[in-house]
Amino acid sequence: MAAADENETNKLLLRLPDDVVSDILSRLAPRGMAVSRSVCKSWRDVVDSRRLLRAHLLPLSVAGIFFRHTGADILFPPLFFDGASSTAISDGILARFGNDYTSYTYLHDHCNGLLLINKYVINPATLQRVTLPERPPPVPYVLLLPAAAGEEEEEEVVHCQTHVPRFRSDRLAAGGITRRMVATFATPPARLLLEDSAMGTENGAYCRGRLYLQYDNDYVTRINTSAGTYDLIQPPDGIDATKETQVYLGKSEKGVYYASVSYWLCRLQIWYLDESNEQQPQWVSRYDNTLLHVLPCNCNYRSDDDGPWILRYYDYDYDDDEEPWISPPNTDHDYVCPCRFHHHHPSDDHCHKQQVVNAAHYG
Amino acid sequence: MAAPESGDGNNGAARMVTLISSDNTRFEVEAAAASLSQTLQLTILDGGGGGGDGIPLPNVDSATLSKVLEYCIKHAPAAANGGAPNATAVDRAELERFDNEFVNIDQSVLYSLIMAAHNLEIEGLQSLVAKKVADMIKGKSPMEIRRTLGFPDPTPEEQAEMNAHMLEYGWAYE
Repeated sequence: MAAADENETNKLLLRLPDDVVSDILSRLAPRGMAVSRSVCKSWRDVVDSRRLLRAHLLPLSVAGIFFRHTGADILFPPLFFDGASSTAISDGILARFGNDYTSYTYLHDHCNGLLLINKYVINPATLQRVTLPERPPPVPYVLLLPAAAGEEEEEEVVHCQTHVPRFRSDRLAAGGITRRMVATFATPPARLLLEDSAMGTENGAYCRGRLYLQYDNDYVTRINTSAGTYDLIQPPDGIDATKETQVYLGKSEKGVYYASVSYWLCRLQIWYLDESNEQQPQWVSRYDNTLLHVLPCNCNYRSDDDGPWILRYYDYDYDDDEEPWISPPNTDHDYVCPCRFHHHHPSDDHCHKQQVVNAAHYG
Repeated sequence: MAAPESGDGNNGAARMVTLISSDNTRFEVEAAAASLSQTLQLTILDGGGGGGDGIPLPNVDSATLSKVLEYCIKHAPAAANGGAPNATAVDRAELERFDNEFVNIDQSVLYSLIMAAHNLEIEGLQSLVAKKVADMIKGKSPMEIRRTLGFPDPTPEEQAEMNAHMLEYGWAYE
Protein backbone atom coordinates (compact mmCIF):
# COMPACT_ATOMS: atom_id res chain seq x y z
CA MET A 1 0.00 0.00 0.00
CA ALA A 2 2.79 2.37 0.88
CA ALA A 3 4.49 1.70 -2.41
CA ALA A 4 1.65 3.22 -4.34
CA ASP A 5 2.16 4.87 -7.66
CA GLU A 6 3.46 8.43 -7.35
CA ASN A 7 0.40 9.92 -9.01
CA GLU A 8 -1.83 8.16 -6.61
CA THR A 9 -0.02 9.04 -3.43
CA ASN A 10 -1.35 12.58 -3.24
CA LYS A 11 -4.85 11.27 -3.08
CA LEU A 12 -3.91 8.83 -0.38
CA LEU A 13 -4.11 11.51 2.28
CA LEU A 14 -7.79 11.58 1.48
CA ARG A 15 -8.04 7.95 2.53
CA LEU A 16 -6.48 8.06 5.95
CA PRO A 17 -8.17 5.96 8.60
CA ASP A 18 -10.66 7.79 10.79
CA ASP A 19 -8.44 7.42 13.82
CA VAL A 20 -5.63 9.19 12.04
CA VAL A 21 -7.89 11.93 10.68
CA SER A 22 -9.26 12.39 14.16
CA ASP A 23 -5.76 12.60 15.58
CA ILE A 24 -4.82 15.23 13.02
CA LEU A 25 -7.95 17.34 13.31
CA SER A 26 -8.00 17.28 17.07
CA ARG A 27 -4.75 19.23 16.96
CA LEU A 28 -6.48 22.12 15.26
CA ALA A 29 -7.96 25.09 17.08
CA PRO A 30 -11.78 25.14 17.14
CA ARG A 31 -11.85 27.48 14.18
CA GLY A 32 -9.66 25.19 12.10
CA MET A 33 -11.80 22.28 13.16
CA ALA A 34 -14.92 24.07 11.96
CA VAL A 35 -13.24 24.74 8.64
CA SER A 36 -12.13 21.13 8.31
CA ARG A 37 -15.74 19.99 8.47
CA SER A 38 -16.20 21.50 5.03
CA VAL A 39 -13.21 19.85 3.43
CA CYS A 40 -14.91 16.58 2.60
CA LYS A 41 -17.62 14.31 3.84
CA SER A 42 -15.35 11.78 5.50
CA TRP A 43 -13.67 14.48 7.57
CA ARG A 44 -17.04 15.95 8.48
CA ASP A 45 -18.22 12.55 9.59
CA VAL A 46 -15.15 12.13 11.76
CA VAL A 47 -15.60 15.55 13.38
CA ASP A 48 -19.29 15.02 13.95
CA SER A 49 -19.32 11.41 15.05
CA ARG A 50 -16.49 11.96 17.51
CA ARG A 51 -17.79 15.31 18.65
CA LEU A 52 -14.44 16.91 18.06
CA LEU A 53 -15.81 20.36 17.45
CA ARG A 54 -16.47 22.34 20.58
CA ALA A 55 -18.64 24.94 18.95
CA HIS A 56 -18.87 26.99 22.08
CA LEU A 57 -15.14 27.61 21.85
CA LEU A 58 -15.42 29.14 18.43
CA PRO A 59 -14.76 32.82 18.21
CA LEU A 60 -18.09 34.53 18.28
CA SER A 61 -19.17 37.35 16.14
CA VAL A 62 -20.50 40.04 18.40
CA ALA A 63 -22.77 42.45 16.67
CA GLY A 64 -23.43 44.66 19.61
CA ILE A 65 -22.97 45.00 23.29
CA PHE A 66 -25.92 46.44 24.99
CA PHE A 67 -25.89 47.87 28.47
CA ARG A 68 -29.10 48.30 30.24
CA HIS A 69 -29.41 49.71 33.69
CA THR A 70 -32.07 48.61 36.04
CA GLY A 71 -32.81 50.20 39.30
CA ALA A 72 -35.27 52.26 41.24
CA ASP A 73 -34.73 55.63 39.66
CA ILE A 74 -32.42 55.12 36.76
CA LEU A 75 -32.72 57.93 34.32
CA PHE A 76 -30.04 56.77 31.98
CA PRO A 77 -30.87 55.48 28.57
CA PRO A 78 -29.43 52.14 27.57
CA LEU A 79 -25.90 52.12 26.19
CA PHE A 80 -25.00 50.46 22.99
CA PHE A 81 -21.57 49.57 21.68
CA ASP A 82 -21.79 48.70 18.09
CA GLY A 83 -19.71 47.19 15.36
CA ALA A 84 -21.26 49.29 12.67
CA SER A 85 -19.49 51.74 10.47
CA SER A 86 -18.81 55.22 11.68
CA THR A 87 -22.13 56.35 10.25
CA ALA A 88 -24.06 54.29 12.76
CA ILE A 89 -24.82 56.85 15.37
CA SER A 90 -26.27 56.23 18.74
CA ASP A 91 -29.70 57.69 18.13
CA GLY A 92 -30.26 55.46 15.18
CA ILE A 93 -29.25 52.40 17.09
CA LEU A 94 -31.30 53.26 20.10
CA ALA A 95 -34.28 54.15 17.99
CA ARG A 96 -34.16 50.69 16.56
CA PHE A 97 -34.24 49.22 20.01
CA GLY A 98 -36.78 51.79 21.01
CA ASN A 99 -38.66 50.93 24.12
CA ASP A 100 -38.50 47.34 23.15
CA TYR A 101 -35.07 46.80 24.58
CA THR A 102 -36.08 44.44 27.33
CA SER A 103 -33.40 41.86 27.08
CA TYR A 104 -34.70 39.40 29.55
CA THR A 105 -38.12 38.05 30.17
CA TYR A 106 -40.26 39.05 33.06
CA LEU A 107 -43.48 37.37 33.90
CA HIS A 108 -45.78 40.03 35.23
CA ASP A 109 -48.91 38.04 35.72
CA HIS A 110 -50.98 35.13 34.61
CA CYS A 111 -54.64 34.37 34.22
CA ASN A 112 -56.71 31.60 32.69
CA GLY A 113 -53.66 29.79 31.50
CA LEU A 114 -52.26 32.87 29.79
CA LEU A 115 -49.02 34.54 30.72
CA LEU A 116 -48.16 38.19 30.67
CA ILE A 117 -44.48 38.24 29.80
CA ASN A 118 -42.90 41.58 29.16
CA LYS A 119 -45.71 43.19 27.22
CA TYR A 120 -46.95 40.06 25.53
CA VAL A 121 -49.73 37.71 26.37
CA ILE A 122 -48.52 34.20 25.71
CA ASN A 123 -50.47 31.02 25.62
CA PRO A 124 -48.02 28.34 26.75
CA ALA A 125 -50.27 25.59 25.49
CA THR A 126 -50.50 26.84 21.92
CA LEU A 127 -47.27 28.86 21.99
CA GLN A 128 -49.06 31.87 20.57
CA ARG A 129 -48.44 35.47 21.46
CA VAL A 130 -50.23 38.78 21.21
CA THR A 131 -49.10 42.20 22.30
CA LEU A 132 -50.89 43.66 25.25
CA PRO A 133 -52.28 47.18 25.16
CA GLU A 134 -50.90 49.56 27.74
CA ARG A 135 -52.22 48.72 31.15
CA PRO A 136 -53.31 51.22 33.77
CA PRO A 137 -50.90 51.84 36.62
CA PRO A 138 -51.37 49.52 39.58
CA VAL A 139 -52.96 50.84 42.75
CA PRO A 140 -50.99 50.35 45.95
CA TYR A 141 -52.53 48.84 49.04
CA VAL A 142 -51.10 48.29 52.44
CA LEU A 143 -51.12 44.79 53.79
CA LEU A 144 -49.63 43.36 56.93
CA LEU A 145 -47.81 40.12 56.32
CA PRO A 146 -47.37 37.53 59.02
CA ALA A 147 -44.22 38.03 60.99
CA ALA A 148 -42.31 35.15 62.47
CA ALA A 149 -42.13 34.97 66.24
CA GLY A 150 -39.99 37.70 67.65
CA GLU A 151 -39.76 39.54 64.39
CA GLU A 152 -41.00 42.98 63.80
CA GLU A 153 -44.11 43.23 61.84
CA GLU A 154 -43.47 44.32 58.37
CA GLU A 155 -45.64 46.56 56.42
CA GLU A 156 -45.71 45.73 52.79
CA VAL A 157 -47.00 47.53 49.83
CA VAL A 158 -49.18 45.39 47.72
CA HIS A 159 -50.22 45.92 44.19
CA CYS A 160 -53.39 44.19 43.37
CA GLN A 161 -54.08 44.33 39.75
CA THR A 162 -57.73 43.55 39.57
CA HIS A 163 -60.57 42.80 41.92
CA VAL A 164 -59.05 44.12 45.07
CA PRO A 165 -60.06 42.09 48.10
CA ARG A 166 -61.05 43.81 51.29
CA PHE A 167 -58.64 43.19 54.09
CA ARG A 168 -59.16 43.24 57.75
CA SER A 169 -56.69 42.52 60.47
CA ASP A 170 -57.14 39.44 62.49
CA ARG A 171 -55.24 37.35 64.93
CA LEU A 172 -54.13 33.87 64.15
CA ALA A 173 -53.01 31.47 66.83
CA ALA A 174 -50.73 28.83 65.45
CA GLY A 175 -48.83 26.24 67.43
CA GLY A 176 -48.82 28.42 70.49
CA ILE A 177 -47.27 31.25 68.59
CA THR A 178 -49.50 34.15 68.10
CA ARG A 179 -49.04 35.71 64.79
CA ARG A 180 -50.62 38.78 63.58
CA MET A 181 -52.38 37.51 60.60
CA VAL A 182 -52.29 39.45 57.46
CA ALA A 183 -55.71 39.50 56.29
CA THR A 184 -58.61 37.37 55.70
CA PHE A 185 -60.60 37.91 52.67
CA ALA A 186 -64.19 38.99 52.72
CA THR A 187 -64.51 37.41 49.34
CA PRO A 188 -61.82 34.91 48.44
CA PRO A 189 -59.72 36.44 45.68
CA ALA A 190 -59.06 34.40 42.64
CA ARG A 191 -55.48 35.31 42.99
CA LEU A 192 -53.36 37.83 44.70
CA LEU A 193 -50.14 39.15 43.36
CA LEU A 194 -48.02 40.77 45.98
CA GLU A 195 -45.09 42.76 44.84
CA ASP A 196 -42.59 44.23 47.15
CA SER A 197 -39.44 46.02 46.27
CA ALA A 198 -37.47 44.55 49.14
CA MET A 199 -38.53 40.95 49.16
CA GLY A 200 -39.12 40.26 45.57
CA THR A 201 -42.28 38.73 44.41
CA GLU A 202 -44.64 37.18 46.86
CA ASN A 203 -47.74 35.33 46.09
CA GLY A 204 -50.85 34.16 47.70
CA ALA A 205 -53.87 32.08 46.90
CA TYR A 206 -57.01 31.42 48.81
CA CYS A 207 -58.55 28.06 48.20
CA ARG A 208 -60.95 25.79 50.11
CA GLY A 209 -60.71 27.76 53.33
CA ARG A 210 -56.97 27.91 53.29
CA LEU A 211 -54.66 30.74 52.52
CA TYR A 212 -51.42 29.88 50.75
CA LEU A 213 -48.60 32.35 50.84
CA GLN A 214 -45.25 32.22 49.14
CA TYR A 215 -42.21 34.24 50.11
CA ASP A 216 -39.43 34.36 47.61
CA ASN A 217 -38.39 30.83 46.69
CA ASP A 218 -38.95 29.55 50.16
CA TYR A 219 -41.62 27.35 51.67
CA VAL A 220 -45.25 27.81 50.93
CA THR A 221 -47.16 28.67 54.08
CA ARG A 222 -50.54 27.01 54.23
CA ILE A 223 -52.84 28.74 56.69
CA ASN A 224 -56.11 27.27 57.80
CA THR A 225 -57.93 30.48 58.48
CA SER A 226 -60.83 28.92 60.37
CA ALA A 227 -58.79 26.56 62.57
CA GLY A 228 -56.06 29.12 63.06
CA THR A 229 -53.27 26.68 62.19
CA TYR A 230 -50.61 26.73 59.59
CA ASP A 231 -47.96 24.49 58.16
CA LEU A 232 -45.13 24.79 55.70
CA ILE A 233 -44.98 23.06 52.37
CA GLN A 234 -41.68 22.57 50.59
CA PRO A 235 -41.38 23.97 47.11
CA PRO A 236 -41.58 21.36 44.34
CA ASP A 237 -38.65 19.13 43.54
CA GLY A 238 -37.08 19.75 40.19
CA ILE A 239 -37.68 23.45 40.27
CA ASP A 240 -35.23 25.42 38.22
CA ALA A 241 -32.94 26.36 41.05
CA THR A 242 -31.20 29.30 39.44
CA LYS A 243 -31.49 32.59 41.19
CA GLU A 244 -32.97 34.19 38.14
CA THR A 245 -36.30 32.61 38.67
CA GLN A 246 -39.64 34.02 39.60
CA VAL A 247 -42.11 31.86 41.41
CA TYR A 248 -45.86 32.19 41.52
CA LEU A 249 -48.64 30.77 43.51
CA GLY A 250 -52.12 30.73 42.16
CA LYS A 251 -55.42 28.94 42.07
CA SER A 252 -57.00 27.00 39.28
CA GLU A 253 -59.12 23.93 38.63
CA LYS A 254 -57.04 21.51 40.69
CA GLY A 255 -56.54 23.88 43.57
CA VAL A 256 -53.27 25.56 44.30
CA TYR A 257 -50.67 25.89 41.59
CA TYR A 258 -47.01 26.69 41.83
CA ALA A 259 -45.24 28.11 38.83
CA SER A 260 -41.66 29.09 38.20
CA VAL A 261 -40.35 31.14 35.32
CA SER A 262 -36.69 31.65 34.61
CA TYR A 263 -35.75 35.06 33.28
CA TRP A 264 -33.31 34.11 30.63
CA LEU A 265 -34.67 31.06 28.96
CA CYS A 266 -38.21 31.77 30.00
CA ARG A 267 -38.61 28.21 31.18
CA LEU A 268 -42.06 27.78 32.61
CA GLN A 269 -42.68 25.01 35.12
CA ILE A 270 -46.05 24.46 36.71
CA TRP A 271 -47.12 22.15 39.51
CA TYR A 272 -50.38 21.77 41.32
CA LEU A 273 -50.74 20.77 44.91
CA ASP A 274 -52.23 17.35 45.48
CA GLU A 275 -53.79 17.62 48.89
CA SER A 276 -55.60 14.30 48.90
CA ASN A 277 -53.40 13.57 51.86
CA GLU A 278 -53.91 16.62 54.00
CA GLN A 279 -50.80 15.93 56.04
CA GLN A 280 -48.47 15.23 53.15
CA PRO A 281 -49.38 17.41 50.25
CA GLN A 282 -47.48 16.68 47.01
CA TRP A 283 -46.59 18.91 44.12
CA VAL A 284 -47.52 17.31 40.81
CA SER A 285 -45.85 18.55 37.66
CA ARG A 286 -48.21 19.89 35.03
CA TYR A 287 -46.09 21.78 32.55
CA ASP A 288 -42.45 22.28 31.69
CA ASN A 289 -41.40 24.11 28.58
CA THR A 290 -39.21 26.91 27.37
CA LEU A 291 -41.07 29.83 25.90
CA LEU A 292 -38.23 31.99 24.78
CA HIS A 293 -38.72 31.24 21.13
CA VAL A 294 -42.28 32.45 21.34
CA LEU A 295 -41.13 35.91 22.25
CA PRO A 296 -40.01 38.21 19.48
CA CYS A 297 -36.34 38.84 19.06
CA ASN A 298 -35.49 41.46 21.62
CA CYS A 299 -33.13 43.39 19.47
CA ASN A 300 -33.62 44.42 15.91
CA TYR A 301 -30.01 44.73 15.06
CA ARG A 302 -29.60 44.63 11.33
CA SER A 303 -26.81 42.52 10.05
CA ASP A 304 -26.32 44.73 7.01
CA ASP A 305 -24.98 47.36 9.38
CA ASP A 306 -22.29 44.99 10.48
CA GLY A 307 -18.84 46.39 10.08
CA PRO A 308 -15.67 47.26 11.92
CA TRP A 309 -16.00 47.49 15.64
CA ILE A 310 -16.40 50.86 17.19
CA LEU A 311 -16.75 51.81 20.76
CA ARG A 312 -19.33 54.48 20.43
CA TYR A 313 -18.54 57.63 22.26
CA TYR A 314 -21.06 58.15 24.94
CA ASP A 315 -20.92 61.02 27.37
CA TYR A 316 -22.51 59.25 30.24
CA ASP A 317 -21.56 61.80 32.80
CA TYR A 318 -23.72 64.75 33.63
CA ASP A 319 -20.70 66.72 34.71
CA ASP A 320 -19.20 68.36 31.65
CA ASP A 321 -15.81 68.67 33.29
CA GLU A 322 -15.43 64.99 33.78
CA GLU A 323 -13.70 62.74 31.36
CA PRO A 324 -16.08 60.76 29.24
CA TRP A 325 -16.46 57.19 30.36
CA ILE A 326 -15.87 55.60 27.10
CA SER A 327 -13.06 56.46 24.83
CA PRO A 328 -13.73 57.82 21.36
CA PRO A 329 -14.05 55.43 18.44
CA ASN A 330 -11.57 52.67 18.12
CA THR A 331 -11.55 50.95 14.81
CA ASP A 332 -9.60 47.86 15.68
CA HIS A 333 -11.56 45.16 13.94
CA ASP A 334 -11.35 42.52 16.61
CA TYR A 335 -11.65 44.81 19.52
CA VAL A 336 -14.56 43.76 21.62
CA CYS A 337 -15.02 46.36 24.18
CA PRO A 338 -12.95 45.61 27.23
CA CYS A 339 -13.81 49.11 28.36
CA ARG A 340 -13.66 50.19 31.93
CA PHE A 341 -16.50 51.92 33.59
CA HIS A 342 -16.19 54.41 36.36
CA HIS A 343 -19.11 55.32 38.46
CA HIS A 344 -19.20 59.03 38.86
CA HIS A 345 -22.82 59.76 39.09
CA PRO A 346 -23.83 61.70 42.19
CA SER A 347 -26.61 59.28 43.06
CA ASP A 348 -24.26 56.33 42.71
CA ASP A 349 -24.97 55.12 46.18
CA HIS A 350 -28.18 53.48 45.40
CA CYS A 351 -28.98 53.76 41.79
CA HIS A 352 -26.28 51.44 40.49
CA LYS A 353 -26.86 48.73 42.96
CA GLN A 354 -28.90 46.76 40.57
CA GLN A 355 -27.09 47.73 37.46
CA VAL A 356 -27.35 44.95 35.02
CA VAL A 357 -25.08 44.64 32.07
CA ASN A 358 -26.48 42.65 29.28
CA ALA A 359 -24.18 41.58 26.54
CA ALA A 360 -25.81 40.05 23.58
CA HIS A 361 -24.29 38.42 20.57
CA TYR A 362 -25.89 37.70 17.31
CA GLY A 363 -24.54 35.23 14.85
CA MET B 1 7.51 2.98 26.63
CA ALA B 2 10.81 1.27 27.16
CA ALA B 3 11.04 -2.48 27.30
CA PRO B 4 12.08 -2.93 30.90
CA GLU B 5 12.74 -6.62 30.53
CA SER B 6 14.60 -6.49 27.28
CA GLY B 7 17.58 -7.48 29.33
CA ASP B 8 20.06 -5.37 27.44
CA GLY B 9 22.32 -4.99 30.44
CA ASN B 10 22.59 -8.68 31.21
CA ASN B 11 25.44 -9.70 29.02
CA GLY B 12 26.79 -6.29 28.25
CA ALA B 13 25.41 -6.08 24.70
CA ALA B 14 22.06 -4.64 23.75
CA ARG B 15 19.54 -7.21 22.64
CA MET B 16 18.85 -7.04 18.93
CA VAL B 17 15.74 -7.97 17.01
CA THR B 18 15.16 -8.46 13.32
CA LEU B 19 12.28 -6.82 11.47
CA ILE B 20 11.31 -7.93 7.98
CA SER B 21 9.66 -5.42 5.64
CA SER B 22 6.95 -6.25 3.12
CA ASP B 23 9.60 -6.52 0.41
CA ASN B 24 11.60 -8.98 2.50
CA THR B 25 14.38 -6.68 3.58
CA ARG B 26 15.73 -7.53 7.00
CA PHE B 27 16.49 -4.80 9.53
CA GLU B 28 18.39 -5.58 12.69
CA VAL B 29 17.80 -3.04 15.44
CA GLU B 30 18.05 -2.78 19.18
CA ALA B 31 15.02 -4.17 20.93
CA ALA B 32 14.72 -0.93 22.89
CA ALA B 33 14.25 1.04 19.66
CA ALA B 34 11.79 -1.40 18.13
CA SER B 35 9.86 -1.42 21.36
CA LEU B 36 8.75 2.16 20.77
CA SER B 37 6.15 0.38 18.70
CA GLN B 38 3.38 -0.81 20.97
CA THR B 39 2.61 -3.48 18.43
CA LEU B 40 6.14 -4.86 18.43
CA GLN B 41 6.73 -4.40 22.12
CA LEU B 42 4.58 -7.37 23.12
CA THR B 43 6.24 -9.67 20.61
CA ILE B 44 9.66 -8.57 21.75
CA LEU B 45 8.77 -9.01 25.41
CA ASP B 46 7.73 -12.53 24.54
CA GLY B 47 11.20 -13.10 23.19
CA GLY B 48 10.25 -12.87 19.52
CA GLY B 49 12.32 -11.34 16.78
CA GLY B 50 15.59 -12.71 18.00
CA GLY B 51 18.00 -14.97 16.19
CA GLY B 52 17.06 -15.91 12.68
CA ASP B 53 13.31 -15.60 13.21
CA GLY B 54 12.64 -11.94 12.54
CA ILE B 55 9.28 -10.22 12.85
CA PRO B 56 7.50 -9.83 9.51
CA LEU B 57 5.83 -6.47 8.87
CA PRO B 58 3.71 -7.06 5.77
CA ASN B 59 2.24 -3.54 5.83
CA VAL B 60 5.52 -1.64 5.81
CA ASP B 61 7.89 -1.45 2.88
CA SER B 62 11.63 -1.19 3.34
CA ALA B 63 11.91 2.53 2.52
CA THR B 64 9.30 3.37 5.10
CA LEU B 65 10.61 0.94 7.69
CA SER B 66 14.07 2.40 7.32
CA LYS B 67 12.62 5.84 7.98
CA VAL B 68 10.59 4.60 10.93
CA LEU B 69 13.61 2.93 12.48
CA GLU B 70 15.62 6.10 12.03
CA TYR B 71 13.04 7.78 14.24
CA CYS B 72 12.97 4.95 16.77
CA ILE B 73 16.72 4.77 17.14
CA LYS B 74 16.92 8.50 17.68
CA HIS B 75 14.14 8.51 20.26
CA ALA B 76 14.91 5.24 22.04
CA PRO B 77 17.41 6.62 24.58
CA ALA B 78 15.04 9.37 25.68
CA ALA B 79 12.12 6.95 25.84
CA ALA B 80 14.22 4.53 27.90
CA ASN B 81 14.62 7.29 30.45
CA GLY B 82 10.87 7.35 30.88
CA GLY B 83 10.15 10.46 28.91
CA ALA B 84 13.68 11.74 29.51
CA PRO B 85 13.29 13.54 32.80
CA ASN B 86 17.06 13.84 32.96
CA ALA B 87 17.43 15.04 29.44
CA THR B 88 19.23 18.30 29.14
CA ALA B 89 17.81 21.22 27.25
CA VAL B 90 20.40 20.52 24.61
CA ASP B 91 19.16 16.95 24.20
CA ARG B 92 15.58 18.09 23.89
CA ALA B 93 16.48 20.79 21.41
CA GLU B 94 18.39 18.23 19.39
CA LEU B 95 15.40 15.88 19.32
CA GLU B 96 13.17 18.74 18.29
CA ARG B 97 15.51 19.69 15.50
CA PHE B 98 15.62 16.09 14.40
CA ASP B 99 11.81 15.84 14.42
CA ASN B 100 11.37 19.00 12.37
CA GLU B 101 13.85 17.77 9.85
CA PHE B 102 12.41 14.27 9.92
CA VAL B 103 8.95 15.28 8.69
CA ASN B 104 10.28 17.68 6.10
CA ILE B 105 9.46 15.11 3.43
CA ASP B 106 7.33 14.44 0.38
CA GLN B 107 3.68 13.84 0.91
CA SER B 108 3.92 10.29 -0.38
CA VAL B 109 6.56 9.52 2.24
CA LEU B 110 4.54 11.37 4.84
CA TYR B 111 1.52 9.26 4.02
CA SER B 112 3.52 6.05 4.33
CA LEU B 113 4.92 7.22 7.63
CA ILE B 114 1.46 8.09 8.93
CA MET B 115 0.21 4.63 8.07
CA ALA B 116 3.26 2.90 9.49
CA ALA B 117 3.13 4.90 12.72
CA HIS B 118 -0.55 4.06 12.95
CA ASN B 119 -0.11 0.35 12.29
CA LEU B 120 2.92 -0.02 14.51
CA GLU B 121 1.42 2.24 17.16
CA ILE B 122 4.46 4.41 17.67
CA GLU B 123 2.96 7.11 19.78
CA GLY B 124 5.59 9.78 19.37
CA LEU B 125 5.74 9.32 15.62
CA GLN B 126 1.96 9.35 15.35
CA SER B 127 1.92 12.69 17.13
CA LEU B 128 4.72 14.02 15.02
CA VAL B 129 3.12 13.21 11.67
CA ALA B 130 -0.36 14.25 12.79
CA LYS B 131 1.02 17.57 13.93
CA LYS B 132 2.81 17.93 10.61
CA VAL B 133 -0.44 17.49 8.69
CA ALA B 134 -2.31 19.75 11.11
CA ASP B 135 0.31 22.43 10.52
CA MET B 136 -0.11 21.99 6.79
CA ILE B 137 -3.82 22.71 6.93
CA LYS B 138 -3.87 25.25 9.73
CA GLY B 139 -5.32 28.61 8.76
CA LYS B 140 -6.39 27.43 5.33
CA SER B 141 -9.79 27.47 3.73
CA PRO B 142 -11.46 24.16 2.84
CA MET B 143 -10.43 24.52 -0.79
CA GLU B 144 -6.86 25.41 0.14
CA ILE B 145 -6.73 22.37 2.40
CA ARG B 146 -7.89 20.15 -0.40
CA ARG B 147 -5.24 21.54 -2.72
CA THR B 148 -2.54 21.32 -0.06
CA LEU B 149 -3.27 17.68 0.58
CA GLY B 150 -3.68 16.94 -3.10
CA PHE B 151 -7.31 15.98 -2.86
CA PRO B 152 -9.06 15.90 -6.22
CA ASP B 153 -11.11 18.97 -7.05
CA PRO B 154 -14.62 18.66 -5.68
CA THR B 155 -17.44 17.72 -7.96
CA PRO B 156 -20.20 20.34 -8.29
CA GLU B 157 -22.24 18.38 -5.75
CA GLU B 158 -19.35 18.25 -3.32
CA GLN B 159 -18.72 21.95 -3.88
CA ALA B 160 -22.34 22.76 -3.05
CA GLU B 161 -22.11 20.60 0.04
CA MET B 162 -18.91 22.33 1.10
CA ASN B 163 -20.52 25.72 0.71
CA ALA B 164 -23.52 24.65 2.70
CA HIS B 165 -21.41 23.36 5.55
CA MET B 166 -19.28 26.46 5.56
CA LEU B 167 -22.40 28.42 6.43
CA GLU B 168 -22.99 26.34 9.53
CA TYR B 169 -20.13 27.89 11.38
CA GLY B 170 -19.82 30.86 9.12
CA TRP B 171 -18.56 33.18 11.80
CA ALA B 172 -15.53 30.96 12.26
CA TYR B 173 -14.35 31.53 8.70
CA GLU B 174 -13.55 35.21 8.95
